[in-house]
Amino acid sequence: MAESEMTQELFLYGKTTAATALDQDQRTMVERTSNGDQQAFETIYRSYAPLVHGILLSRVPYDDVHDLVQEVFLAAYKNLGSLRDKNAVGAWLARIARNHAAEYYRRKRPSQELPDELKGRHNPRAEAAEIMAAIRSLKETYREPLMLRLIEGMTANEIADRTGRTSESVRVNLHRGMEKLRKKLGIAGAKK
Amino acid sequence: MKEDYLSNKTGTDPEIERLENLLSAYRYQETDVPLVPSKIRNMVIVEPKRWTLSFSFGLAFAAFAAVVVGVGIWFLFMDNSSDSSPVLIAKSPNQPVVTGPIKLASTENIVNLPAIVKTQKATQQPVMAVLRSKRSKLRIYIARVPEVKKAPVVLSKEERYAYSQLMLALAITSEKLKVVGDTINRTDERTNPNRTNNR
Repeated sequence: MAESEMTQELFLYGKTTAATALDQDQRTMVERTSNGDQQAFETIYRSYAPLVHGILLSRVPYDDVHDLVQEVFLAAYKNLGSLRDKNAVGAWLARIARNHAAEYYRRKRPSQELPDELKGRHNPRAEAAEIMAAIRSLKETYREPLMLRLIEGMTANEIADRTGRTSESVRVNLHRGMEKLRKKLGIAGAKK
Repeated sequence: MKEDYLSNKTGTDPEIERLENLLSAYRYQETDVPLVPSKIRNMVIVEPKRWTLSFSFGLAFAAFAAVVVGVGIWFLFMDNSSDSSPVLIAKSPNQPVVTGPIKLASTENIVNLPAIVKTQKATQQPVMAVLRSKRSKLRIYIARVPEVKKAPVVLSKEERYAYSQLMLALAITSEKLKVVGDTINRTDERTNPNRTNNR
């Protein structure tokens, strides 16, 4: 099996074995949210918003990510009944976020992000934009973990917990993705 | 690159830290939680139960089967009944669709019948009929035009005289032709006695 195929398989079919406190509370939170508890919904939102943000960021322009995060959570709330495994909220939300990103490109007129010199003071600098573009050009297998690690600041274990993958597969993808990113950015030390 | 820092954020890696700092502008900024519209919030979220789904699928399948059986029976009866009462479609006299099949029981159902018969006499060709049963099932027939019986010929006095004169002329002409033929044959026998007449 080729390296990339193996990585993909690890990425797609891996299951996390670590049960965190968050996981244990998931079922309760989901059930409370199902009963219309806004407080429980807020808890889920605060726990998973960075994950959804990172996944969306790896696919759609930064300026539209914030609105899409809100849309993803509203869609999740409406479809909470379709969540079969109450302990897999993260993977479920990640799937909704990916679908929304695909839908975004189906309905959205083509647009480009503003050049750095035209952007407002809250927007990243040119170098950051260049790194961002380099990450986005990577395969999805590497793109998502790198976004969640470098931008949202999650560790490999946290990524694995939230996305429902094994921490081993996340580590492998982070390592390989970082190598490819270094090559793209021309950073010294990248393996040939 | 130190893998520990990349995976667990333990230790230091200046290069990755620099990337993190640069990309921090993109980091998620905590915002207010979206307020779920009251219309949605008050909606009871009911998880579909397995038996409900099974029942729904079963019901849908039964309905589908019933429709299939019904359509089958309908077609069965259609075949038996459609030939008994065909109706001709002939919207204009020029339309080459002019006659009904042999199975037509009466002409009551035929539309525009005089134009149809006229067209038949003019063409004397097999014509195509498009028939529609009362249940709207389209059928196409090819039928040959029935023969038209000739009326008895009645001649006037002048016509009878002209006819007798013509017959007389034909008889005289044929006699003369016979004499000419015999003369030629005898001449041939004289000039060539070995030749046999094969006629």
